[in-house]
Amino acid sequence: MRKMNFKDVFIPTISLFIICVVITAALAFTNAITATKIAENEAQSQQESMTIVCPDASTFEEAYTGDDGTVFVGKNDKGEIVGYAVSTVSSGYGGQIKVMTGIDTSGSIINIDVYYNDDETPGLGKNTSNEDFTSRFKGLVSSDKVVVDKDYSGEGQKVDAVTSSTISSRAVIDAVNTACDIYNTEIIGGEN
Amino acid sequence: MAEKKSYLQEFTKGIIKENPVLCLVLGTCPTLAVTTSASNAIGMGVAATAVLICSNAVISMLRKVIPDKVRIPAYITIIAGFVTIVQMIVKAFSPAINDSLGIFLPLIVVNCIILGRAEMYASKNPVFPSILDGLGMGVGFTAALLCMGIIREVLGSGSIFGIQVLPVQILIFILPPGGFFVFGILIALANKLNTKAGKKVVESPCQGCPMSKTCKSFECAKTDSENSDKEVAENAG
Amino acid sequence: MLVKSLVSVFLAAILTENYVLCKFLGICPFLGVSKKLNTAVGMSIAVTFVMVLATAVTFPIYQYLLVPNDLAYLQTIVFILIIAGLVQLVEIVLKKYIPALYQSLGVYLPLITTNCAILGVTMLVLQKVETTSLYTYTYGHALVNALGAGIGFLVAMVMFAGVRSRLESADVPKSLQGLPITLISASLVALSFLGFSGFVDKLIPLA
Repeated sequence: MRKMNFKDVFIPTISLFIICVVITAALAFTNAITATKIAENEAQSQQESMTIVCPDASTFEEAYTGDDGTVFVGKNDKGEIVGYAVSTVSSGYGGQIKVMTGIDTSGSIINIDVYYNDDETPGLGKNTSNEDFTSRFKGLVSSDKVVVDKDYSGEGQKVDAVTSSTISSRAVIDAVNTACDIYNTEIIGGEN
Repeated sequence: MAEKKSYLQEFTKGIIKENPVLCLVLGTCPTLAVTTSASNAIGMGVAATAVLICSNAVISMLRKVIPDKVRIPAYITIIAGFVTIVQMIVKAFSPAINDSLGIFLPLIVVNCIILGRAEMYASKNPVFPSILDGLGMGVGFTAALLCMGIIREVLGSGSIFGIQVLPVQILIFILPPGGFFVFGILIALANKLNTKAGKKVVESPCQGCPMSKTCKSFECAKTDSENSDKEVAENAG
Repeated sequence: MLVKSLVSVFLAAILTENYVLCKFLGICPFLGVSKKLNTAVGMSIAVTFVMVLATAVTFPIYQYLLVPNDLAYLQTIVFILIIAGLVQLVEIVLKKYIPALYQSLGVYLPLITTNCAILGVTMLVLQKVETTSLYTYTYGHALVNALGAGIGFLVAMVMFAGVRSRLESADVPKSLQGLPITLISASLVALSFLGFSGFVDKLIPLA
């Protein structure tokens, strides 16, 4: 066997190491610059979404954060509670679906907003974020389960799915049901 | 003057003559996956072009420093670095594009066009031509993606860049089968034009693959020899 | 419940979320190496092996090393280097200790580093950890998902190799010969996989 030359082993190793260090430093630098901006973007998209589902509120305060979702209390200019925005996540056809559900103080759904569904099929599952679909949730009550028309067997509140996208529609409904559960246990349950 | 012309050639060859997608059949995964709409196609194309230019420039700069033995890992590290930087920038300044490209944004790192240009061009040429080469290849990639994206969006959702133009929608075109189909037809067109111009036609993505040199005992080698055999036979006949 | 969810993850990775035909990952080997059945099978087994191995290593590194230290942005670079290193390691080990296996699978290994299906599987599985709400997505699920993805790759490759062997004897119009007709047949195979949508959810209801 040929004797391993010190130069043969050392130089490639050290040059690869230097490249890794330089690249990592460059990444850390870019991350430091962009991280705040990325966080801002996320917060902004959440804020927009909350305004859609709870239009009467002017400020939102985080009231509960758990593994299953986050509840924001919406207050108007006078500081009165006008509703709750609950952000939940579920898994759709291609990936995750994020839904914001607005619930008023009497427990009925004001509106919902599907603010992330980009892993769904364009033209099919992606249509779940259209107002056409989300408006079907308006006025439902949070105390009863929502079910998609295909699963409907006389119990719960029926919502028609987006054509040919039962899985994505079901995912949105799951997220809304989770939101209602959180609302009932954390907000209603918490008050008593 | 002569030099100017050759620089221009470095740039234009990637767009038509050696179009990475339609002539060399490289980078097929993003070509099929993100072309469900024209705007997605442009987003992907621009992101890949940015990575291509930066990685070509850096690799060409370091071509005399990087030891031959660890060349591929070094290239991959550099490319992965730029991909992550581009990803962070896209996330910060255009979150909508980041969301719609999803996993395919970080997957630019394994896009064979980029490693292929690093291995075949940037590692042998000075910085400026390498940048032009990257730019040309990137524009060619973007053009091919845009072409796919427009066809699929018009037929599949009846719109261009989100503006409704057709009353009917043939949904299958934005689903996976439609991607394969449109790509097949485009390659057929490119092949037709290439044969008319008397050029050789790529039969398997392996031929343009940057790794084909490393996998010797493999089908790529076989297809190549088969092809040349066929050609010899045809010429003889 | 655990077994049920594992089976569901496994079947979904093969059928409804087939990485080649539904997610467009690993198209290069799918088109390039599917000409003959034996090369298709060899490539798929090598891919499956590396997928499971790569997931086994990257999953804990991401969850327990990168995330707690706020280094999630290093994901791409760390993963690709791990995969490249693993492929080299497997190649060396096979060559030295199991030369017979190296003869049959080793030739595919250099191609696998740049196979986007591997990197795709290791990255996509991390998203699932966040999105799965019906049960906790564990390390076991991630491994089963990787195995399923590999088997799904195998299924797609074998099916497609069959289709292509029939194509050899077909009378194809001149302009479509070669790659175009291969892609059009791939489109029909992908179409058949669309039929599986919703299949696993119906078969194994988890809710």
